[in-house]
Amino acid sequence: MLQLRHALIQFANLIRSRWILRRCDRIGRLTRLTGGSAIVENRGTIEIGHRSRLSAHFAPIELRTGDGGRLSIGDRTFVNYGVSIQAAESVVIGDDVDIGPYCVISDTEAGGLDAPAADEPRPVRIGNGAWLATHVIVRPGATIGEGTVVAAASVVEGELPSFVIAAGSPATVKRHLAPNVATTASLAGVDEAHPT
Amino acid sequence: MRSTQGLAAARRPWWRHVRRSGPELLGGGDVRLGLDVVFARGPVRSHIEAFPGAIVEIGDRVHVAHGVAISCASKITIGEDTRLGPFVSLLDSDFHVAGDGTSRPLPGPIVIGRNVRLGGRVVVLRNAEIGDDVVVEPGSVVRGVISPGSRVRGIPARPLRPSLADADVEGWVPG
Repeated sequence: MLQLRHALIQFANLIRSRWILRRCDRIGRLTRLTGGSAIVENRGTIEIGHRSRLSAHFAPIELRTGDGGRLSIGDRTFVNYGVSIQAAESVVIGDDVDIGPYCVISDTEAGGLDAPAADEPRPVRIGNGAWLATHVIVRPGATIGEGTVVAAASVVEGELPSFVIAAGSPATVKRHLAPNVATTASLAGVDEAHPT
Repeated sequence: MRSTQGLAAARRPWWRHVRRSGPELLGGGDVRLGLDVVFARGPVRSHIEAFPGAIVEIGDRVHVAHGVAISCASKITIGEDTRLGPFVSLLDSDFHVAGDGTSRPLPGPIVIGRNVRLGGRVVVLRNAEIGDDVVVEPGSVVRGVISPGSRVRGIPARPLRPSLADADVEGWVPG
């Protein structure tokens, strides 16, 4: 009985997330929004892959595209509460990406979609399996490689390679990661002076 | 719980007002509040998430601004008279292991001393120990041990200068 109730709640939530995300152009299978709400303003295309989770429990998630802008989120991606993603031209987020609370990802400097002409949008790319910790800001033109970890409250500018831990403002490479190998490294704020 | 929200607050009945001003409590752990703890109203509610077996201890007269996230998997202790700015995050677990998507990380307790001031958007990571009378500037990331009486800033937070002038304490504004 309890399982049936759980299944019903899950199903209702799936319908609810479809309704909240109805302005998106494509929502994959079992992609769902839990908790609170989302602000979706779509003047271009917004695509979300399969089995992605948007968790808006404590603050709403914001997805915006400007005229002809493209916002693409891959499969099995997790977006935490308070995240703001704005694409005036192009923001592409890969598969299995984890985006922490209150992250800001934008391809224009001012963050607005009606930006002045001087604020030329520069596309943002986030590779598969990347993890953005809490309060990370991704600036226009930034590229984050596959499997890369960006530590808490960092600001990402330019290009970050694959399989590294990056931290700071602007984020610099602190450590290299072996892909898919268990490590006990502390993730956020890695540096030499404070080894874990 | 004072009414500072203007018309919107005036239209809301008093019981809604009281209910909305408190933090959201989640999980099966223990949350222990001292006397005269204040959770400020704001655009985003604060929340305290204590996982089963976890303990959150908040001392007397602690002031917590809006949007504060306290996520506790082991133990978080906040000393008396401490003030947390808006959107502060206290995370005693990383929730991920870098370069490994399958294993679970170990949490580490956070200890925050007395009369500490955390500015807006400060992130405190696992195993952090902040001494008494510390001032953490807004936007910093705190990890490791911060010695008492210091003023720190940056990612990760480093001392700005060794002593704490009394005048600065008086003029401190959260955010």
